[in-house]
Amino acid sequence: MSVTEHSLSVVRPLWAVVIRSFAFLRKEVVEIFRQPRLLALLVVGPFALLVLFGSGYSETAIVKRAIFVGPEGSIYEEVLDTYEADLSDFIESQGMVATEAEAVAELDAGRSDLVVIFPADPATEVMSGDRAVIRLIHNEIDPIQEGAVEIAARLAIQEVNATVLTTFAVEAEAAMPDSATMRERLLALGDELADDPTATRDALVAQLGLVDDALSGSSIVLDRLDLGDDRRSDELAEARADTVAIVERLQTVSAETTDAELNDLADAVSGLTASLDETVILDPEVLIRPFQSRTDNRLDGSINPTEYFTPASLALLLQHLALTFAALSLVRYRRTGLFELMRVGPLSSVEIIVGKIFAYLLVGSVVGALLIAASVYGLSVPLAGSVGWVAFTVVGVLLASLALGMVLAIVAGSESQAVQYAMLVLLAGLFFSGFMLPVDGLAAPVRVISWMLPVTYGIASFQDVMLRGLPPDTSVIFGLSALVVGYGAIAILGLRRQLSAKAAT
Amino acid sequence: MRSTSTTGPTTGPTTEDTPPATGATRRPDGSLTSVTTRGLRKSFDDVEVLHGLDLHVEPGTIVGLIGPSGCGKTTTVRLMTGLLAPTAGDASIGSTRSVELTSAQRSRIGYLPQTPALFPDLSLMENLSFHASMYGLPLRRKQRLMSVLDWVELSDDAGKRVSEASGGMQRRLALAAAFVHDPDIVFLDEPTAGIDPILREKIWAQFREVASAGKTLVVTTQYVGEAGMCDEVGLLSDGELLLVDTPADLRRAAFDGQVVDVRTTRPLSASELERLSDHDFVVGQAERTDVSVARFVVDDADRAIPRLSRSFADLGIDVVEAGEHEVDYDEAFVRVVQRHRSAAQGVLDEGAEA
Repeated sequence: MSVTEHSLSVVRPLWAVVIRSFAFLRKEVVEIFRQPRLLALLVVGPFALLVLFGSGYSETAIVKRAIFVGPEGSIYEEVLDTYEADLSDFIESQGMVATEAEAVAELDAGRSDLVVIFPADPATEVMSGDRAVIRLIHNEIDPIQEGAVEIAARLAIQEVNATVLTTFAVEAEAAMPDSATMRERLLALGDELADDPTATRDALVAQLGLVDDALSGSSIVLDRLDLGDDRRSDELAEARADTVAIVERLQTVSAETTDAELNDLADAVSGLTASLDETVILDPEVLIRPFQSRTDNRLDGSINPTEYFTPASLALLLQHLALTFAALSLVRYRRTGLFELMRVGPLSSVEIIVGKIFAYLLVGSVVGALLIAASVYGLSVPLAGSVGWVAFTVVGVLLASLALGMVLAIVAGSESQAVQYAMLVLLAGLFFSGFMLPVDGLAAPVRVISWMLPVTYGIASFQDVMLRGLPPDTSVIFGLSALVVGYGAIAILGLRRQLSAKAAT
Repeated sequence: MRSTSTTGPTTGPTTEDTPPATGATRRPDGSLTSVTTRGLRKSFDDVEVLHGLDLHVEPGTIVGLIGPSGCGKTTTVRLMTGLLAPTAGDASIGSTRSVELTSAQRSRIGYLPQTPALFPDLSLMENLSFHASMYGLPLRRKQRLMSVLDWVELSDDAGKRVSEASGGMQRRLALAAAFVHDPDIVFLDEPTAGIDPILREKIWAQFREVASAGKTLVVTTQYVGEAGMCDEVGLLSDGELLLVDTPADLRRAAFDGQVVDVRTTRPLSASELERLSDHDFVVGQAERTDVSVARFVVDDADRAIPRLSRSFADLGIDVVEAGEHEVDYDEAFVRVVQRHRSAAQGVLDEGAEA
């Protein structure tokens, strides 16, 4: 057999470019698909992690255990007992102890996350014009957890504050019945006025004092709320003026007061009670806490942590996969004779880059599609938006990451260096992409790093498309395109330089 | 091959005899089959590793670049292929400077690097097909691939993965890959390194077959014994081309003549050796290689042996055996290197004295 037998001529240049690029594509795809363990690692590994996260993550972990310190038999104890259910939104109450040392011991032993110390004598402090201080002690080292503790404690304390006030108000409420009861009492007292003017006078004055308080409190709240309802304000002002006038007239009642005057006064009281029906007197609970929150999510149902983190994890995985493949592959080429062969042969840097990028794009797209399908059907992660936009995001993140991987391969001197670079980019992805912390929280110069990472756009786009059902933001489309073009150009120029004889050593 | 070394001894013609690079040996069909280097120098980090190499490789020949590790063989090949740019001087394939070869011209060059570019997870056939694609061969190529695999006796293992193939099979596959596109000129960097002698012989037979088909081969090797398989041999040492010649003349050049060994019935004395060396057909001083064996370098062994026998008889010494000694290539190589180093040391000493 001769070496020249069945010899073939080289095809036309353009067709040769296609054949060469396709050769790389075919080689890479065949190599990857012939490594079942690698494929399992690529698809099953990340999915298993997501499943573990989804099943293992518990939101109760962020509800902090709090132990309270306060005087025995104080109102705090009563409040904590009565309103434990309300406080459980913020903290898990572990009850009240008498001394700070006792509570801190629990904290140090790790049985509590937070110690809340109520002032021993708040009334004295308040009466002296100071706000009573409620102290918090914790031992968190995680800044995020520390913030969570402070927010939870603050909310809990606000709740305690309001609850204490409400308790006082409720007590007052016992003496200040609602408007219907008050009217009945006033009418009865008005009727009794003729029989025992002096005793009835004192009872009426006390009763009207409560009415005045209720009207005054309601007036203040409504004025503060600035509802722009002048009629209500006028009614309240008129009712208060009537009340004050009746009280003044009552002060003059004595044994000498004539029946006619007493009847007239009884009519005035009756008139006042009638007007109270028309007047807004606020409930004490409302007076103390005029606002309460009610949150409605415009999305169809709330997003749990697994659903929230899955799209971000997918973006991060795709970036890491593509980047590592591209970086390692090109560095390996350089280490083996293939790089030399490519430089001696007719290959151009564009053909190498295009061939490899298409190969890994194909593999990455298959992996991405499998992971997304597994997330949607296996983990019930919502896919509210268009599949087309999801595909766009997958391709965009892969292309930009592959190009970045090629750039890293050109910079890296060895495979271990390439791996280290890939790990650095992964770390950068965790910190700067919005995976853990919002990108908007970063200072402007540092945010440039976010913009340089494909995963930043991937996370934003996946979350918009999958969770919100929206198309990706224009900035995502432009950002990913810019990264593909920018990194791609750097990779081609860098490889061309390395392939050139002048740069070789 | 014609050559001179700017520093070393040479038996080949000088650079003036070398055909001009422009228009050099380009075949009518446009193939590129000759290689020319002129004053080729290469430095890495200010350390010169190749000191002015002048060489011309004729089309259709096998030229062996022989020398120990680190002598500059691979650097020379890399400069010839355009993988490296020279620090000074020039290397050309045909009429084109190696660093300026076009993509079309590169597709006519074959190259076997020291580390073969093979992919363990692909089959032998798939590996070969990948290399064929790199050179832009058409997709309907199965027949060609099978014939090349057949040439290296691997057609029965075409479907086997490289990871399952033996070292020898991988080497032959790499060889097949270098020839898959039927190149005009092939550079083979230590193709027989680490291969058993039987396979080496087989591979060299294949090289001879390729050369007989009109291809030019530039082969580097550490095995000096392989010199005999080349049409011409260049001896490299410490970045210098010491000698370029045909294998037959290489041995003669190493000793400045032919070597004759004479075995006698008794040991020769120093004075007897001196008298025997006085003949005009004896080059230099005769030496004793064994107790009763004397070695003479002569200009023509056939004429010298009878005359030496007579001289021995005149001295009353009985000759047991007299004949030409077939110097092996290792011996010749060592001789050339030693002579070169001695000359270099002499120049240094003279410089120091001056």
